[in-house]
Amino acid sequence: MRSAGSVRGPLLRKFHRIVGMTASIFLLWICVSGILLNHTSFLELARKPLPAFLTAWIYPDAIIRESNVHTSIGIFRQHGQTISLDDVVIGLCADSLTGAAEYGGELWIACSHQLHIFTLDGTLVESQDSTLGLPAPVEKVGLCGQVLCVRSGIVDHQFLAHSGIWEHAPEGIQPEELAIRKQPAISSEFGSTATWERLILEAHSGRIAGKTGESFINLASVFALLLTISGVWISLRQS
Amino acid sequence: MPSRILLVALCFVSASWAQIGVFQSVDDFINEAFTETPSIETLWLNNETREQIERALNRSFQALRIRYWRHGGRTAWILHETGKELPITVGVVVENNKIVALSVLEYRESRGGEVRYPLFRDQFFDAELNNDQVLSKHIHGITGATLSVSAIKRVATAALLCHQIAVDVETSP
Repeated sequence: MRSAGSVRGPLLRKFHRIVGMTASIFLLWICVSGILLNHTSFLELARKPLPAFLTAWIYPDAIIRESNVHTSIGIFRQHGQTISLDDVVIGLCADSLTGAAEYGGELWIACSHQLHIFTLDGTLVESQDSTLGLPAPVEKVGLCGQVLCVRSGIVDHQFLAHSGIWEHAPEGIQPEELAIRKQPAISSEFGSTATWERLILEAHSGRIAGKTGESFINLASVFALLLTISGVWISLRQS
Repeated sequence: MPSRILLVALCFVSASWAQIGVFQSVDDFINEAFTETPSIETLWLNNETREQIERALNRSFQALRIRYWRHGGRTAWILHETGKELPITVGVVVENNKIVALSVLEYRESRGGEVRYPLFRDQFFDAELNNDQVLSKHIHGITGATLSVSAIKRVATAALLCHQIAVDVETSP
């Protein structure tokens, strides 16, 4: 008759083997992704955007928006986050494009919650938002006399260049006065949130598959713990 | 036994609650940062200084100028930096090349918002840049907020660098 100890031994080794085989793929991925994340700065993973097909598949929330602003000098088109004037790319909008104006030798591109300021040769000078008191949403941009104005709701706000702040405008806003020359294509990088760092981190934590993925990774961690315990136990029994 | 099963099951449940919000207005942040009304200044960047900021932010930075608030030797910077998907608005106050205050003004994502709590933010007090232009203090991270923590650290580094550039511009002949 076999003793309890002689039955437990093979069972323990079988348990250890099954747990190890089951968890091996998850553990292998956690190890590889963990090493990559440990060297994210060296590998510049945060600066490397994903290929377009991966971004479209995994992060479709890099939202594709399309809208047009018809003006006297041409059509400003927004596709996704890219803004173009007559098919020449001039900038980006995180939300809706609402208008544009030339003021103080600079090109002011208005989005609902931002103003992007470019030099007339296409260099980004500054991006403004509510931090400097820009009212939102920006519905229209133009001139109040000699000063740049935006309309938000029924209230006009003018930009005081010398103080760098937005204040209520004393005069009504005029229709878009756009004396803008076509600009060369701007190949500036604004960065992307769909980066390799983000993908690897979400895959490492399981969040890429939502709550189910997180649960799987949690389970893999529990398996690793069971593997460790059973492994130590087997070692102690053999010694 | 059922209680043990419940305990194990709870380990797999990730608590998730909305963390989005505006936690401090720009006006309140500025009023807290300065005892007297500051002026709004403009920091103009050249290729060299822009490259330094790009290294601090670990991404491309295209703007030619940055606006900030200043009174005496104290400056306040409000910067936006993307954590996971959306920008986090962070205010940093710098004096004598050290951070004297850091505040998360607005958080836009559904997780990782623990970075706004004082327990995390207070780590940045007195932080400065070392010779390698990185933060002199080790900042402990928050589980589940890795990207947000990284974004806050980048903003803190960039603010210290911008303060340094602004002061250098003022003192250079």
